[in-house]
Order: sequence, then C-alpha cells, then structure tokens
Amino acid sequence: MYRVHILLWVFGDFFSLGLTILLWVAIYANSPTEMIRGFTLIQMIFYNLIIHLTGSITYMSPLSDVAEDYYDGRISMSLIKPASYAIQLFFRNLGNNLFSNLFITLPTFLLIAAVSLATHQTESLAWLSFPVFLFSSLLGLFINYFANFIFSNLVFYTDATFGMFQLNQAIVRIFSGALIPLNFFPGWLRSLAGFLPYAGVQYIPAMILLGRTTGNDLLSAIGVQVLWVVFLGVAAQLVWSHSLSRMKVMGG
Amino acid sequence: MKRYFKIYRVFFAQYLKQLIQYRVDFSIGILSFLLIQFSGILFVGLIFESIDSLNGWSLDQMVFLYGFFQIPRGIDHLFTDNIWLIPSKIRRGDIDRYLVRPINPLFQCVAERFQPEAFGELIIGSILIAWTSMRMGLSFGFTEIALTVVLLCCGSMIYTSIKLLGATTGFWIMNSMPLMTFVYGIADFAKYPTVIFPRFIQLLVTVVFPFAFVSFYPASYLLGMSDPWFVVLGSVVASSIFSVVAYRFWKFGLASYNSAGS
Repeated sequence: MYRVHILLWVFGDFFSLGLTILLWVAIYANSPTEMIRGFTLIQMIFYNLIIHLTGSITYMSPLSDVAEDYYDGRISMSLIKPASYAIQLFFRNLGNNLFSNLFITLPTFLLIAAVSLATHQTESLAWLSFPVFLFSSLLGLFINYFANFIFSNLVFYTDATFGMFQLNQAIVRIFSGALIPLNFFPGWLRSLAGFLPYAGVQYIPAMILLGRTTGNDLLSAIGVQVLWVVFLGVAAQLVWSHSLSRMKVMGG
Repeated sequence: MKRYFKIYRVFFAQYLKQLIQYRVDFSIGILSFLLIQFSGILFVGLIFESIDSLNGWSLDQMVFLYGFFQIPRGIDHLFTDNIWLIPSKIRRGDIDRYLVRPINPLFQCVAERFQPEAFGELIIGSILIAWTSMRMGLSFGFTEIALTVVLLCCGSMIYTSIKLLGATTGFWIMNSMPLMTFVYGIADFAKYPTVIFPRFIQLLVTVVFPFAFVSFYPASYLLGMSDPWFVVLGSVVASSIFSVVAYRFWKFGLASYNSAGS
C-alpha cells in the first residue's frame, strides 16, 4: 500500500542531493583554481555524498512525536510506563532510523562505492577508517537524538510545533556541515559552530571517512563527540524533569 | 463573484481568530523562515568568496534572482497554502464538506486558510531585490514594472497549478504528499540561474515543470540579460496551460472521489 510513498520519498531525497552536486559542478567550472578551500571537485562530491550518508545514519527526529504526544494528551500514558520518556522515544525513533538506514544509507553507500571505483579516486576516501567512521556516526546518532530531544522540550514552553520543527531543521542544516563544509565559514560563525553539538552529528564523521582527520586529531574528535553525548545525556534528563514539573496535560 | 468576495472575507476573519490563538507558533515560524533564508544567502555568499561569477552571473545578480524567487512563491504560499492539506482531506473523507455546499469546492479549500507567514517571503524577497538593484544601479520604468506584475501573477499561477496537480493525485494514491513535496522541490533549481545546469535540467525546468518562468527568466529580463517578449510570452503560455490542465485534472479527480467510510 505504501510502496509508492516510500519510493517517492527516497527519490525526492536523492533528487535534492543531485541538485547540490550539480550546483557544485557548476561552481567548480567557474573557479579559477582547481581547489576550493582544500577540496577538489571530486572531493567535494564525496563530501556531499558522505554528508548524505551520515545524515541518514544519524537520523533521529523526536520533535514530531513529542508534539503529537503533547497535543493529544497521550503523553500522560507514556509517563506511567516503567521507562523514562526519553528512552521510550529513543526506541520509537530507532524504528524510523532503521528504515532510513535501509532505504537511504544503503543506496548512498553503494553510490559512494560506485563513484569511487568509477573515478579511480579510491585515495579520496579513507576506507581503512571505515570502522572508526561507523563508531563516530553512532556517537553522532546519540548527539543528534539528545540535542533534538532537548530542543523538542521547547514545545512544552511555547506550544509551538511546526515552527519549532522547521527552526530545528534550519539550525541543524547550517551547523552540522550539511549546507557547506564548516571550513568555508568565516571565523565568528566557525566559533559559533564549535559551541554547538551539531558538528559532531555529521561533520566529524564525514571528515574521518574523507581521511582528513587522522592521528591525534582523530582521537580528540572522538573525544569531543563522547563529551557531547555525556553532557547532552545529562542535560536531557535535567531539562525533561523541569518540563515535567510545569507541564499541563490536556485530555488523554 | 461578489458573493465569493464576501465569503472570502468571512473565512478570512475566522482564520485570523485561529492565528491569534497560536501566536507563538507563528512568530517561531517567521524566525525559522528567516534562518532558512539566511542559510541560502550564506551559501551563495561563501561560494562567491572563491569565484567571481557563475556563468556570467555576479553575486549581486545571484542575490537579486534569489530575492525574485521568493515573491511568486510567497504569493502562492499566502493564498493557497491549504492545497497542501488536500491529500489528507481526501484520505479522511473531509472533501465531503466542500461538496455539500453550493460554493466552488476548490474556492472553499483555498479560502479556508490564509497564510500570513508568507509575508516573510514577500518582505525578504522585496528587500533583497531593492538592495541589489541599488547596488547595481538598476532603475525600472513603467513598462518594466507593469510587465513584472504580469510575470509575478503568472509565476504564482505556475506554482499553484503544479501544487494542485500533485495534490489531485491523492484521489488515486494513498498519500500524495511526498509526490507534491518532490515536484514542488524541483522549484529549488529556480533559485539559481538555469544556465549553470546541464541541458536536461534546463529542459526539465523550462518545459516539463516551467519553474524557470517563475524566477530565472523574469529576473534575467529585469537584469537586461534576456528578451522581454520571449519571457512574457513564455510565462503567459506556461501559466495558462498549467492552470487549465490543473483545474481540469482537479475536476476529474473530484468526479472520482469516494468518501472515506466512517
């Protein structure tokens, strides 16, 4: 029944990736130098493909669930269950995440492998770091979940839903490196990105697979991600208990 | 016709009441919209630190195009946003409500919601156009302004028609929302000069889904890069064909509508 739905969703997703790549092709065709900010065209294409991959691996979107639970009062039912709301929501979202891994991650991965073979650019990617990349992406998934969970608590204070969802997406897109590699940013924006957790969701894992983060830098990058997971995990609990203390549940 | 205006006023008043109820959601919607626009311009700005022009388009011209892109989209968004809800209305059998009233069903659907969030698009678009025109020392006479009004009307019609075409498929497929999002998303190509893309994309956005007539051709006419008659003629033809086809398709879909059981 929903086959067409899924197909179109996947198609639309790859279509916008195609737009981004065609745009970069045009940009490089107009560039006087072969390299822009340390990326050749093929490396930039890989960057966008890998960001697409990490975006799909770390996909976690609790905001819409929180908004829905809150609005129809079902949240009161979640509160009496013997697991914390954050954990229940995590597993509910994990289902969507597996779905995204099946339909987006897998094709994207095959695409990356195919492009890398076809262009003989195997050295553009650090295939040996692949296990580290996966580990880093997993940390990214937790960062993404906790960050979005904390953000979604704003629903309880503002009663705003759709606007919040868009705001969250816009922030993540800019600061995760999905818009443009973070090293394109001017200094002030770069430092702002450093104060936010979103680089740990996509940019850090992507740079590992691109072979641009190695040795000690690799260790400190993973360290930063671990710190974010711990910090956001604790913050999520604190924010949640505060929300709980002032939440009004209607209906249910 | 007069009756329809009166009805629109009543619907409009109802909608404003709803809006006041969700004031915070509205202001956050505007804020997120501004951030999305900021990211689009940031991208173009950062790119132009490494290149001087994109196939002959300067940064000012790119931002002008970006601004122009917002206006027809904003007009479409302002008045006909409710078309997005048609797929779910079909699924839930809510179209029934439109059919039992002696007013045009599509009109009822459109009049149900007025989307003031779209002022974000209209304002940002106008600011970007005014700012870049000033920087480039452009000035527009009566002809340009008159033709621009025509082009903006045609552009919004193209948007609305394509959205309606997508929504109408909901009469046959379970959820036409992804299809609508996808087709509407093709418009993103029109934020950039069509000429920078490969030939098949140019054909796609000129002939198949004529989004190039929404922003690229009008903007290049105003920037003196394109022949006005081709642009105006193309826009009028494209928007007429699309609105007639979309409306016919909608009527056809409506005729095969089966309500949901309850």
